[in-house]
Amino acid sequence: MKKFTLLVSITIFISCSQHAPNQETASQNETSVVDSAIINQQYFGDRITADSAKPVSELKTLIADKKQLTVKLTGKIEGVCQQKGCWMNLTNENGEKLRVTFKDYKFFVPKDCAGKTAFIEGFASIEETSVGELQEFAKDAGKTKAEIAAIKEPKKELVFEASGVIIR
Amino acid sequence: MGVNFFNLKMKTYLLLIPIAFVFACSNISKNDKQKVDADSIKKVDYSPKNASCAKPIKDPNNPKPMALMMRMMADNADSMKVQLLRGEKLESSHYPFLRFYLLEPTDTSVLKLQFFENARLFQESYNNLFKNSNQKQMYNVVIGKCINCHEMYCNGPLKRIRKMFIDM
Repeated sequence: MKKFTLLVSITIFISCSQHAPNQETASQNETSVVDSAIINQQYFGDRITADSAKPVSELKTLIADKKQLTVKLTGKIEGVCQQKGCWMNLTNENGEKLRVTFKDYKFFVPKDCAGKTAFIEGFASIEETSVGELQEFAKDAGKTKAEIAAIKEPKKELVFEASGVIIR
Repeated sequence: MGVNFFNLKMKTYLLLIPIAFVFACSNISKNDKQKVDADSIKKVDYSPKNASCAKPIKDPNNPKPMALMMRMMADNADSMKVQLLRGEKLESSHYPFLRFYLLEPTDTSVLKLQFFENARLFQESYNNLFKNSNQKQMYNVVIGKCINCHEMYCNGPLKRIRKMFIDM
């Protein structure tokens, strides 16, 4: 009887004092990665939210046969203008790139933000980019002189002008 | 004597049970408190809602003096356009010429003869703006000089500069 009582006491003590914190630690670990990304996110241009952003890969479907579209997208930053941070490329899982410039040249993004996730809100359109502009984008991206000189044709492409950006 | 000793041991065990409960429960309450604290931290610091307290960043890349001066020039041009559309006369005293070409540019490789020749042509048209009776037309000439130079050296702000033209 005495041993049983002692055993019960010790069991209650151990179970209450050790089991609960383990569960807590596990749940904290699960959320900490996401939470730290959110807390460290940076805003550029107009204040936007990340809610209901569509993946960059859906843009072609969304824009369909329209010439332009106001939309909120998210994607991984593949490259950034190394002169000023005045444009960035987002990429989708197929490796297709979307060049994002910033409305009225009024804000820029960090030159070292490649690899992070961006949320962008603004205006997608299909435009013809001139040879001069394509060459300058190539120069800003750090391409070699030979690669820049090889650009000789204008390019009709899907581009994006963001009014606001979140990077996390 | 034997009975007394038994009673003493029994009392000790019986005392141990409530102590174990109290200790265990205090640990539970401590854990709960930690959980509450963690939850409140999440509510305060981790939520996207609170993250939105962060101010949007305009330029995270330490812009060079020439780029900063050109932003002032762009703001001045916006202001000139508003005045001209109101039918007001532009006074040179309000818009002194800013010697941007003396400052450090983002890309120092632009500092060649052609750049300074462009700057001279720009300054010439800028001075004419205040001498000419048709200031709207002369203002457009000045904006044209900005575009000419930016087409050679920095395409980024071209979209913004083109918006500065006054429809005649």
